[in-house]
Amino acid sequence: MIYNKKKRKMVAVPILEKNIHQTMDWHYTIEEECGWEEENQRKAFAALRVVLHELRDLLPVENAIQLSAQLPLIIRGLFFENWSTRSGRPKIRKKEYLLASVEEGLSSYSEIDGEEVIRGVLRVLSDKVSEGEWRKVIAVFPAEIRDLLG
Amino acid sequence: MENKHIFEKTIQEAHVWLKDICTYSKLDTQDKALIVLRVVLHEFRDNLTLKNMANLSAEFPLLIKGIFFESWKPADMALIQKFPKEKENYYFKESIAEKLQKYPEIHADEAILAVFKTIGKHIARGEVEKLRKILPPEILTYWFKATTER
Repeated sequence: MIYNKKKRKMVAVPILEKNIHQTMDWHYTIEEECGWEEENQRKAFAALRVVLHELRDLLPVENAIQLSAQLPLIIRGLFFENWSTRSGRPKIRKKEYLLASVEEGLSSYSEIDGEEVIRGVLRVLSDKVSEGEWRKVIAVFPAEIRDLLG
Repeated sequence: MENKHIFEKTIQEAHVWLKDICTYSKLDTQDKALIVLRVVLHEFRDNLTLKNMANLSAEFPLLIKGIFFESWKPADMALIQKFPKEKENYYFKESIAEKLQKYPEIHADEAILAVFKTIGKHIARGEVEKLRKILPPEILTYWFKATTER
């Protein structure tokens, strides 16, 4: 194990380090797609969290699992955070509920436009996962929410 | 630096898990600990019900959660509500030994115990007890040993 005194952290497991970089990349892309000028990792993380959780609960569980397979470790962990199997079938969501839920999740940040955030995060997601997988996800979206994607 | 908080935290937590596995198994690097964690965690997961998976993983750090759900392919969602592997000719330890074949220095017994001890250390007692009630006999023997002796 290498202990880097200057950085004061362990750098022994390259795959974990790789994951940090991947996750950071997601965040920069989210900031870009949401049009946020100021760099704020926490805000991007919060946006990713709330949209991922809404998306997960919107999808049939098989779709959710398949989608999760394509995410980097940390983001997959985030995807399954507070995951409950109690709600076996996907909730029927109306656009306004989705927007409200996203805006509530981000209420401690300024400059939040729910639609923009949803669109931004989903655009990043569609970019990062395979085309085939994304097509499957889109196919099971409620129409109202599909419209959000423009 | 404050922006990196969440990632640094989950990486640090993962390092603690890997360090614990090293301690419990006498493995000398976190790379090997990660291999062991992956193999045992996945095999363990595939013996749990969906509900147990959700409850157990809720207590894991993000990155470990990501590993837990990695390459998870429930071929049949109806099946997983029972024990998919409660079938003839399936042995937990043998299955793990097979996957660790490439690493002759790692023994399946030690690997299982080290990972179970680590999980037991980091999750709530109640969750440990809950799992005791539902695990198949072979796995229960390890689980009991690891979570009692630690």
